[in-house]
Amino acid sequence: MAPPRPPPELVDDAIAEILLRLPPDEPRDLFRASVVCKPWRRLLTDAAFLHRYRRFHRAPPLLRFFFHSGGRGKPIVPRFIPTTAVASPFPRPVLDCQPWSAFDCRHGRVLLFKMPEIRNLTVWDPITGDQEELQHPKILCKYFSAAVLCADDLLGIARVKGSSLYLWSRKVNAQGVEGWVQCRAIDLRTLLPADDNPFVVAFVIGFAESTRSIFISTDVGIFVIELNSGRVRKVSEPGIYYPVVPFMSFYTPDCACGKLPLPSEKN
Amino acid sequence: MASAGSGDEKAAAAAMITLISSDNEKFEVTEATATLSQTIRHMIEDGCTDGGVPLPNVTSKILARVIEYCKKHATAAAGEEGSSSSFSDAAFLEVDRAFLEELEEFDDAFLEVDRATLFDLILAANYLDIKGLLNLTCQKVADSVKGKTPEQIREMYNIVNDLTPEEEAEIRRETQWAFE
Repeated sequence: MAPPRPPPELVDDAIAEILLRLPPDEPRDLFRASVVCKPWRRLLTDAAFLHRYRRFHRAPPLLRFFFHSGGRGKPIVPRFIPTTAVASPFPRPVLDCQPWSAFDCRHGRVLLFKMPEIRNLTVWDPITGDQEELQHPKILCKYFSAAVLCADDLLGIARVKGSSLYLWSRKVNAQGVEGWVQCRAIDLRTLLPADDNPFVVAFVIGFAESTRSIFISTDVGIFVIELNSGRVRKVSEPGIYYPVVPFMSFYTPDCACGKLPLPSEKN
Repeated sequence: MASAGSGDEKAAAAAMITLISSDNEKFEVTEATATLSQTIRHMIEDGCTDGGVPLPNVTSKILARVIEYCKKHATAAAGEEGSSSSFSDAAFLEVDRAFLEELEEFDDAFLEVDRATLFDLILAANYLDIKGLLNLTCQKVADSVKGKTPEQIREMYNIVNDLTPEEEAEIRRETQWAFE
């Protein structure tokens, strides 16, 4: 039998159309594609192409989340845990210098406070490593919460009762009256991997609205559930049930070709 | 093949265009089918289609597949415009959904081709500017490289590595995490 005909060489426009559609949710795949050949590398490190890439995919993927592990007698340690198959590295000067905690994260930027002086806020871009210390806002009291920027167009509640995850949504009925409507119930026992059953307790500890992912903390570990696809991933061992802060951003090969500081990773 | 209606209202839809492949084969298609290609739509608007449209970059084998795609999707577009008042909203939505499912099945079956044909279709869709076909075929290639190493991607699609060994080593060193 004759060997199959090899695929023809593509023109640059066609290569761009293919690379535009590489899924952003595993940055590893973008970096691997960027060393296939020069035309692929040129596009995947080109600012104009990557601008188009971000516009094409609109919602940045979930890459990591902030979480406090420990508890039960162990020291509580803040961590920045990957949700991807292979963790893309981040420059860590902000995280390494002193104890810290994350308040919120939007548009690829994280609002951190450094302990023990919790009124010193820092805005940090984990991909470029840029950070900006914020002047001590006068509005703060002993207990407060903060956000980078709030522009939600979705109001919902998720809670676990028994072994099911219930999703509630704020809806307006025909009479114009607003109310909470249960829009979905998900049986966690069928959804979580068999090895991790049975769990005894489960809590909702976070939600990434742009990727419609819910973080569930159970006594067997922390899971991310993608509501649209039903995909479930175990992302951490069990910890204390503090809320998590999800980090969503595009991590593209221009981060590592001299235009931006070289990321380094310490675990 | 279903024959077109003979009424006046059908005349415009039934206007025929001749496409000529690189190996000189002629294909008669309706204007509705041909104008899924923006390239051909512009030629029709400019009145440049008398005597046929030569497509020197597309072989008869690939053009036949492209026309198959356009026919199916042109029917879909016509169906959306044609069906209306005779259905209640609910019935209309039901028909719509069934048709979209059928179209999805068609697209899935359409993509069951070898890699060389897939690349030929991408080149044709790019040249003829057929958005739906370009999206369908490029997404298939993009999905297929998920989890693959650069060597596997080159091997799959016959791509020549024109990076020097030094360049490649340098990139891999900078982003070692992606290659472990």
